[in-house]
Amino acid sequence: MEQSATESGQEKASKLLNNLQDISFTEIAIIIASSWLLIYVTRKMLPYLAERGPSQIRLYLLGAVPIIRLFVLVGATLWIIPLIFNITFQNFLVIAGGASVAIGFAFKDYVSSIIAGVVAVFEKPYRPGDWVRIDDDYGEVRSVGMRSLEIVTPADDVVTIPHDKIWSNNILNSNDGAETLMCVVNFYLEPTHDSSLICAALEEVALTSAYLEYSEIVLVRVTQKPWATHYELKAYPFDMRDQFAFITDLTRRGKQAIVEAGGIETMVSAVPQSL
Amino acid sequence: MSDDSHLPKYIKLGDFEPPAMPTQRAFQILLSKSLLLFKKNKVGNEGAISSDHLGKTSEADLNNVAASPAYGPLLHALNQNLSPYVSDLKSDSKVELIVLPPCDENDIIKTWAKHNKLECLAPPTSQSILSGRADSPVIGSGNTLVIPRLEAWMMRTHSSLNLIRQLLAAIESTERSVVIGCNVYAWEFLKKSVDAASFLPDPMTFDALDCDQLKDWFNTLYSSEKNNYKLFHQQTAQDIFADNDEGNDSYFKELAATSSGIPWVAWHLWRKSLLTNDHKASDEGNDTPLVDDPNQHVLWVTALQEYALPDTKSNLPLLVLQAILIHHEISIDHLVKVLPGIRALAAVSLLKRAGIINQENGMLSCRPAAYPAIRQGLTASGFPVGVV
Repeated sequence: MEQSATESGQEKASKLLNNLQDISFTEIAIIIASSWLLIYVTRKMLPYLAERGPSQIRLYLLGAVPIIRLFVLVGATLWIIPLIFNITFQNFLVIAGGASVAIGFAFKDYVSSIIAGVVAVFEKPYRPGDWVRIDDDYGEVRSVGMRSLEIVTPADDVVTIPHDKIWSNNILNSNDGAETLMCVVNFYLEPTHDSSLICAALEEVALTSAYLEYSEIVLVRVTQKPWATHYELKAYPFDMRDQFAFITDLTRRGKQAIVEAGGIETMVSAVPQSL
Repeated sequence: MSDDSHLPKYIKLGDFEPPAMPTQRAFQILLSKSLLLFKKNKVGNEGAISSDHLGKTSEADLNNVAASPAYGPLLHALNQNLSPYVSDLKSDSKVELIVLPPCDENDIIKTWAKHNKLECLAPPTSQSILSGRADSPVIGSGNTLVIPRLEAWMMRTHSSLNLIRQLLAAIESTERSVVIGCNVYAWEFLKKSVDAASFLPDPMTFDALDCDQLKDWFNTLYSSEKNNYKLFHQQTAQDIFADNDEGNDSYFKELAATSSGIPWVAWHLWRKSLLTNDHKASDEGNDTPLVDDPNQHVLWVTALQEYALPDTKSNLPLLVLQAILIHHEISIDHLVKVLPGIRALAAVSLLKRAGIINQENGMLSCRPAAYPAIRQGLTASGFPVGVV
């Protein structure tokens, strides 16, 4: 009696999958459908509300999308696995071994990206709504998916970048979750001018911009280059989505202010990159 | 209004706190706004008389029951708090800066100065500020000098801030007492652009009018016409000034919260709320039981009128509104100069059609009754706004 019970236990433990008649496919379908629906609603609703609600909560709403999706997926997976698999330590080793081989040979990069995606949710090198540069691509993070993120460039191109870039590449985040970011406008002037006048004029240009965020600093940096005097006008717009309008405004009025202050912009046909 | 306890307190600008919206009403507004996100139909309520039967009240009737000026008790409060400057007694500070909410059509600081026969420093024209040909300000000597609107001394362009810098330097170096008025949007801009806070003392302002103060003020305005007019709350059909009526209290609490306790905003919203039954012939039964004297006019106090900013994808209307608020009023020609690009003209037309801004004698200004919507729009879009 005792021996047959042990055998039955061993047999049960060695079975990887539950009996088909024991698996509730309806329950699994409901869990998958509910999870999909919840993720779909989150992906649609939160960005919709973010674009229409107060700008102060926009980034929080956008940033909540990948976090909610991660928790829903983890919850659904943990719920479904015991319904299909007969979870024992022995079976766990079998599944883990099989998965390791499959991942090692076929899905290495895919899984690496998914794991990087989970890490990205917690480390936050980028969040939806952030402005980032990854390799040569700069744009606003439109969505953070399981395997990749999508950014929209100023030229309105959508670039899909796998998360595993965070293992080896530098991620340049211009606002890092803040509502604004620094904009830099460059001017190159012929060296013969009154630098203090130009600095004051450029600072005034930024201070009178309609897009200026009052709580942030305005800065003019001057450096001497072999071919020109380089002015960098640095300021923050109150809404980072206005950064290109802000830069255009500063450039347009900055050029005018430079002329009024007696400066002359210089033109250089080509400059070595190291300079 | 002779009782000083009803006057708004004279406080530091940073201590300003607008009255809170009643919780129930706040939830109603939140719910209706949430619904509006998904459908365009407005959620409306009907009260004791159908809104369809109510029409605009004539200007003459409005002037009888809610006469100007729109600043209400503030002039009295100014007289009380600035008396050392009138009598030329030295107070703690020789310079007083009063930062007021925008949309003050009555120019209250100038009115106060005239009332007390104080000299006002006249600003140069906008054109001369823009061209850089304005004369340097001269403070001179004598008793208290009043600068009613500091914002009138600058334009928001890169070449138009020198004059106000000269003015601030002159104020700092003078021995003369100076009272300065400035609107809160201009003050926020000047603090950033010319470090105005370094030259001037901590700004003062008046505390928000609460629901009781508003009720008292409007009751006082109406009291002389009590025999000719009756004011009923549309929701409850009760006398709007009747004590211990929850509906009335709720109305005035909402008025105080919506207007942020700003007198001129509340005054305009109050007048907009007063409607007349223009279907008397067909619907006479509605108000005959409410008044004893058939010659008495019945005015219905309806829910506060809500303004909606034009629904555009760009924030150009908000840029226009911010520019107007900073300058208090500005011509279209000059507006183009303080805004990025020339597309502002299209936004001006939209805003005029929506009743948000007004154009008088070529000058654009924001309508006080629309200020709550303007402020909400600017705040929601992240524009820098002051506390009021």
